[in-house]
Amino acid sequence: MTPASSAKAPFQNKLLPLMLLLPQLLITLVFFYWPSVQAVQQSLYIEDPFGLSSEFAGLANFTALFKDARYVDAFLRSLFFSAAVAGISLSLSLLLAVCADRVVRGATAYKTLLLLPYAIAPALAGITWMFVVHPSIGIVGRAFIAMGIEWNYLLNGNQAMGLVIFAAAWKQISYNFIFFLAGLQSIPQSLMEAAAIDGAGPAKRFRDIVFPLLSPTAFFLLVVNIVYAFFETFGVIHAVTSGGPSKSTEILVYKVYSDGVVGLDIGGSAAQSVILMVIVIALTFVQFRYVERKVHY
Amino acid sequence: MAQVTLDTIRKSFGDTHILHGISCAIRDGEFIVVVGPSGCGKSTLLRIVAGLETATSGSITIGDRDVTKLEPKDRDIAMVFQNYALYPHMSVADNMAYGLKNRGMPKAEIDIRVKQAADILQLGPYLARKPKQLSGGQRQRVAMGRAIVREPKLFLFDEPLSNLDAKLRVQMRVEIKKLQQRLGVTALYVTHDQVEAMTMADRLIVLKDGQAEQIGAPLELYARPETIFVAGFIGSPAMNLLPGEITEGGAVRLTCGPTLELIEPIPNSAGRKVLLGVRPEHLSVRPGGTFALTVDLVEALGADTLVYATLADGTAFTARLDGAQVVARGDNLALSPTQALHVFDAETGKRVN
Amino acid sequence: MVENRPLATFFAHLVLIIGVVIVTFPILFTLLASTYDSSDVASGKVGLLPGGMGLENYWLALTAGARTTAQNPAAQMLLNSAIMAVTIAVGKIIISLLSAYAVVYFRFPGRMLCFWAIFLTLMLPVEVRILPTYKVIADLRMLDSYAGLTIPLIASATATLLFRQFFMTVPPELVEAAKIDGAGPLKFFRDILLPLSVTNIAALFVILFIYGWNQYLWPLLITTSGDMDTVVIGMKKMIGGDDAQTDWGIVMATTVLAMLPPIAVIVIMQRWFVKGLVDQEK
Repeated sequence: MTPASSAKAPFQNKLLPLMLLLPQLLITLVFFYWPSVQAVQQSLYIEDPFGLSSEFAGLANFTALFKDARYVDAFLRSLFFSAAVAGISLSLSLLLAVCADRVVRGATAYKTLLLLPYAIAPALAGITWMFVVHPSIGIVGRAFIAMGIEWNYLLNGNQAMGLVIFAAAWKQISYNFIFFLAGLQSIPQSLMEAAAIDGAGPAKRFRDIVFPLLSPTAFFLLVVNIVYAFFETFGVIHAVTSGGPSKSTEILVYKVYSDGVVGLDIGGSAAQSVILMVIVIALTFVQFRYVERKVHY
Repeated sequence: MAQVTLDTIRKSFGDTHILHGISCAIRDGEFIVVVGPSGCGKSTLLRIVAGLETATSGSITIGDRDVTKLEPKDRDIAMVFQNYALYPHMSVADNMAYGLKNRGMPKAEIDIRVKQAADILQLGPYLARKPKQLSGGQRQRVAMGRAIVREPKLFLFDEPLSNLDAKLRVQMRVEIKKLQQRLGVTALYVTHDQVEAMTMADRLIVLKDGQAEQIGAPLELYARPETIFVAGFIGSPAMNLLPGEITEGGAVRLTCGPTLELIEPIPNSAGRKVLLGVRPEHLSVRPGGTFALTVDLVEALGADTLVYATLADGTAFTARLDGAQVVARGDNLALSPTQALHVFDAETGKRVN
Repeated sequence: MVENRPLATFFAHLVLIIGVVIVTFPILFTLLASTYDSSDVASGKVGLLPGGMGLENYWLALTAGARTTAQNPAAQMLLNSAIMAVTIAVGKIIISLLSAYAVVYFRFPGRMLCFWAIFLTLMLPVEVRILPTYKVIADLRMLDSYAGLTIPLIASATATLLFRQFFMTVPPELVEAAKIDGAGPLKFFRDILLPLSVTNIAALFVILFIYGWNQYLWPLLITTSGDMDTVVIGMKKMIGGDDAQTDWGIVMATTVLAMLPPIAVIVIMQRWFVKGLVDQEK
């Protein structure tokens, strides 16, 4: 009630809170900050693959990356991939949420079924869709071939890209659906009734009331989906195409992995890590603006 | 049961002073109400007595013990919160028993005490329920129950009735007062509601901007307010306060015209700016009376009639007349004071007669 | 909806049905395929009715694994996944409850620093620091161990923020009442705050269990020995080779087994899960 009540901490102990925080801080320092600092440090050095020698190289690793056509390709491909995944997933789930908000009968069953993809690992989402469109075993893949389409995502880069985009977007539908539905259901019914009395039909109400009120949710989801498409889709790519055929599905996270773990290019991989870090930080800041009131102290 | 002494309690955050040195000696079994507008520091004072906040300076004695530095649990107090602060996951019985369990009281004794408290508060049938399943009034009683099972030396109440509807509030007001009298426990009660304050208190502390304007029995404050603030705060509708100045003869000449003689003239103050206080209920209609009014609005309450009017110079003026008096909008009335008048210094706000 | 429009409602049902078909299609196809003989799957004979090999495929998948690619039996991999998922979920919940409690209910030097140190880990997902993290795990000799699979993932900014936010909605009078009732910080935590957090804990458990079960990059980095494979990684290894050689029936059965636990958790605990997910971002 008074400002005083919030100004005073409930408990006065000084040591106890540090003890409570210790496990989290320890893990954070050892497994988050220490490797991150090392990534930044390594990105400034050039090391031979056997770790025998390394020398300070300034920003050479970074300039080398942006001169490397393969990296620039992967960068642009990631942008396209993220935009496609976010776009497809968001529009499908918004459509489903609007419909689910409307129906009464069967609503629970629809919702439960639409939640299923959330439970499935990105890698498995990729693998199961791969089964479906597999040229020899998949029901859809065989249908494509029967229709005379030259269908083989193992050879055709565009088809492979289409497959991973679709699988990645599919996996994210549930998450977006939940948030869109929660957003729609938080719009007060009285507001819709007032608009109806003011003579607005369903389409107009959607445009003039629902859409503006839903836009914070949509913006938040957009950022979440981009982060997801940039980083969490590693499993889809690795399990389905391994970046192929001939690098046509190699996005940035996959490239960091293959250059670092497989190719053992430590400096180059570290520089790529640092660039990814900058992207996450930028995206988190954008998202932070949205959650500002929540994390504000 | 104990007497409680507050000695020059001060509280400040940096340069912001919340309390400017409050002192009060509370007698054993006395019901003290701290009343004032929101932000006056009354809740802070209560929380300092509870030990939930520390005073910047000053001391608190409960019984014979100086508790200024003690934790809340060691002060032998119980508190009823505005939002009741019941533990939502515990049953009514567990809510009441929690404090006793923490003190290591044997289970058998806890059960007896909870049972007794439940009987007193008619909570018997609800002991197994969760707070969520109770009405506002019942929750209020559980909060009371949690306080009384502890058999503390001092009860603290932080606006305990403000979350109830008007009817229940009146009812609980009576119940709390009765309960306190029956148990004979000293109580400190904070409210912003002057009716609550007047009806419940043995003595009132009127707090404004962290300062005790006046401490005294309700009727004492009503009959002889020491400051303009108390004059305006106690009594409903509020006292009329009219600007004027003291004449050579020690009377008051009002800016709006009339001059009023006082029972005891104020000596040696000619020219002093003052405010003259007249309670609305201390007026009666008299042909050629002191105040000539034009009636703007009438509220007929039955027993009496509230008249909102303006004086000749446009100053607003309220009167509470007998219900038999027929008054209508637009009437011209002449009223005279029937009781002693209150005179306050216009600058200091202090009483001068 | 405000007015009753049968056509619009019909259209909504239609869209939802199409949506549900799309969403469940690969799961159903895999489920159907898991009941066919490997050679029937390979030659594209999977139809809309189950085949007759269901029990046999699942039994083989659980006990022996794919015959052609010499993988481990799914039982071992499922156990690894379960250990990983449960340890991560429980660990994250405990660690986050404690941190959030410290940050919300105490004032101590370095409090904001600790809060930000935890909060900023949001910006450092494994994907952006793959190699150095691998090296730290290797230096600590935690490769190919449950400890390596779980402990580094136990720190959690999101769970800490969720609990912090929940604690801040607990009325401050509750702590005060507890203090007057004689409860110290640990008693208050155990007797009042923890019971009040039960719903949040349940919701978070669902989300974190799924998070742990579905980990991919992390086990890929940390484990090399087949004994430590989680079921998702094991799956990938099974389909790695030549298509003609793949033991499809077993692969499909293993895929179903890999999807089953998180689906079960989500369906059974749907209410808490949705609440938890939405609250996380509030």
